[in-house]
Amino acid sequence: MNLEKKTMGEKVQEQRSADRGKTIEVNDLYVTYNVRKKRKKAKNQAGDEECVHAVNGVTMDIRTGEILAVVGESGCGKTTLGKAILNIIRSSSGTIKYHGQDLSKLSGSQIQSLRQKMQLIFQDPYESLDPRQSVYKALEEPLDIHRKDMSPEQKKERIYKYLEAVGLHPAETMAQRYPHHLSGGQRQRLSIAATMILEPDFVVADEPVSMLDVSIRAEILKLMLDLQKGTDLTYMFITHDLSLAWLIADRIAVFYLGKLVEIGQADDVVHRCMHPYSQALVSVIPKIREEADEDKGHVLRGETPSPMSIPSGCCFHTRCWLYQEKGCPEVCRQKEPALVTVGGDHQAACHFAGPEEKGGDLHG
Amino acid sequence: MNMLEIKDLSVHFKSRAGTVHAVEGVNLWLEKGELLGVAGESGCGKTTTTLAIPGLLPQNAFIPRGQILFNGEDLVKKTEKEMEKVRWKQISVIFQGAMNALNPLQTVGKQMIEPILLHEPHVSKKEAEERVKELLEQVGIEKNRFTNYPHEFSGGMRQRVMIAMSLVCDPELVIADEPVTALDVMIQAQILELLKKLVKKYSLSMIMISHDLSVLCELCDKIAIMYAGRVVEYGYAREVFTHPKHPYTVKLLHSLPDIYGEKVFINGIPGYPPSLITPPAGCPFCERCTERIPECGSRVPELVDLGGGHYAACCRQTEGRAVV
Repeated sequence: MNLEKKTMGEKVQEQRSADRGKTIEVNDLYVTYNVRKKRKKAKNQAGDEECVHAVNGVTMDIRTGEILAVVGESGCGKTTLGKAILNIIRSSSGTIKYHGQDLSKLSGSQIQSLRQKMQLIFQDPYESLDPRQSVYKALEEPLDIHRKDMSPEQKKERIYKYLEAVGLHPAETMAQRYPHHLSGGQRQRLSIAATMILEPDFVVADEPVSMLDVSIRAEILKLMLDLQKGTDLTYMFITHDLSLAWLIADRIAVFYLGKLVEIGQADDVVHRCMHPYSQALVSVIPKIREEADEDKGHVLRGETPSPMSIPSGCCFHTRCWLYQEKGCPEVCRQKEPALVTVGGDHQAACHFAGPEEKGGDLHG
Repeated sequence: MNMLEIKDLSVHFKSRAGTVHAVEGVNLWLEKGELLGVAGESGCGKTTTTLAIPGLLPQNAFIPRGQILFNGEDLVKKTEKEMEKVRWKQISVIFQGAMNALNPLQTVGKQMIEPILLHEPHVSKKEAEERVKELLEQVGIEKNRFTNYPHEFSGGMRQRVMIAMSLVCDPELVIADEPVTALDVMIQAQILELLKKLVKKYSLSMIMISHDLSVLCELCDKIAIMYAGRVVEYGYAREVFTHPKHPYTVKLLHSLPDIYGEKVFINGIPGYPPSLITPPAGCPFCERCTERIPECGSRVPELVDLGGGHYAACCRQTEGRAVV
């Protein structure tokens, strides 16, 4: 059995001790999508063009060598943020720095050359691979684009090396295969190989295991961690699954309606969460091995408001259980809460951020 | 008496590559008012088994042997015409993928009264509308949305509509095929709460299929774990989750991160399920099993009672040795 006894907590400790600076610095980033731009009728009452506010003033760092999990429900802007950082989507305002370099000040060709250092693992390995491309071709293509200096022999050597590294062996045989010959897990291994073959130091993994069966998941996650070992590789791990984020990430960032509501060490965000939204998310995680409580905690009513009309003040107040409990304070409707430090390496954006009072009438 | 009893059921599919043994010798039973969860990974036969109950298998499927006894009557032997009487009124289905299971060209209300008018000819249209509106309120949708089209609803609300729709003819058994897959965690929790409430209110019996064990653990009374077309473990949900007996269940549970437990890295199950076209001679899990003994390669283990209504199909169990 490949039981990894070392807890993730120890791993975090190791990484803290070797603070290696910041790979990505995001400052006050906004991404808005205009919708129905050409039709005049689409203008709303205020006369502005209707737009989707996908990312709303996000400021955060991604530290070198860490795994930062970005967690939130669909439509919270987590994928948009990842793509904006990789410069696949243009941001509306704000800055993104990669190792201190402002990406918006770079020319197209400079971005192109940076792109091999910043890569993306896609969610669905059934759709992200070209069915007419052999495994070898799929891995050769990124090298053809970015590594024109490599000879065909060097490329071949590199491709075989990475096929073995991601567990697709024997490499010679696997290289001849096509995606339809591969199972879901093998396809995702191939996607990872295609991402890693350029030896990036920053990888955005967009729900890399959500399409896979649970028994396959662990292997893929383990592979991602193995590839990181002994390198400065930094992951931004996008997921909707908070318990998975807790398991593999060093830090977790929780998003709601395009805003960062809480960020901190994985254990802090899950076990000592300060924001009522994160507290609600944690409370709906099923207890697998324990007797289930009758009281489910905070199942939020209703649905996430449209990112086209974000509520005033704190964007969460329309669904917030704490807001109700506090007797609907005005400050929540009027003032947008800033991200404040709530302890150690832990920040939350809530006027009333604080640990949930245990033993009270909240959790029973 | 058991309300539903599936006895030695096999479902095969004809395909160009050969016969696919999707479901092989499945035994399952359900008492009235129980909520049974069927879990397993893709291709394990969970949907095929349950869709065989209301006779909704695809054209190329056939049932070479086995019985599905529903209130004592064998559904396998019934003709299509007879099955029509069973569907909706006795057994209804909440289909997978609420996004696409509704007709986009018809209002939600119209789709919902259709089965009532079809199956209960004595009910007037007005009465049917009343019944549907009441059900919509039960699932948390305002009455006046009766005339809305599916695209005017969000994913979670469409799933609520599907749930209400399955109840229009007051069935005894509801089959829910992955009712919360593809929904956000918060909506998932809402829908699970709703199902819990409805099961109580209408004293329903329900079979819920999911690939996600954690979804089933809080809701179901009993749970069946399937692997490669067979039931490998069956018992009270809490018992199966806390004291799993089959090596596959044990490993499956270890594949789930548990924030209430110790932070140990999850273990997957190396390897892949066997081909269902040429099933192995022995235990289907044999190749990926770490507890394997020589016997496993040659004998298919039966589902055996280990006491307390907990069943497992493992060669080592019948030998009298503890697996875990």
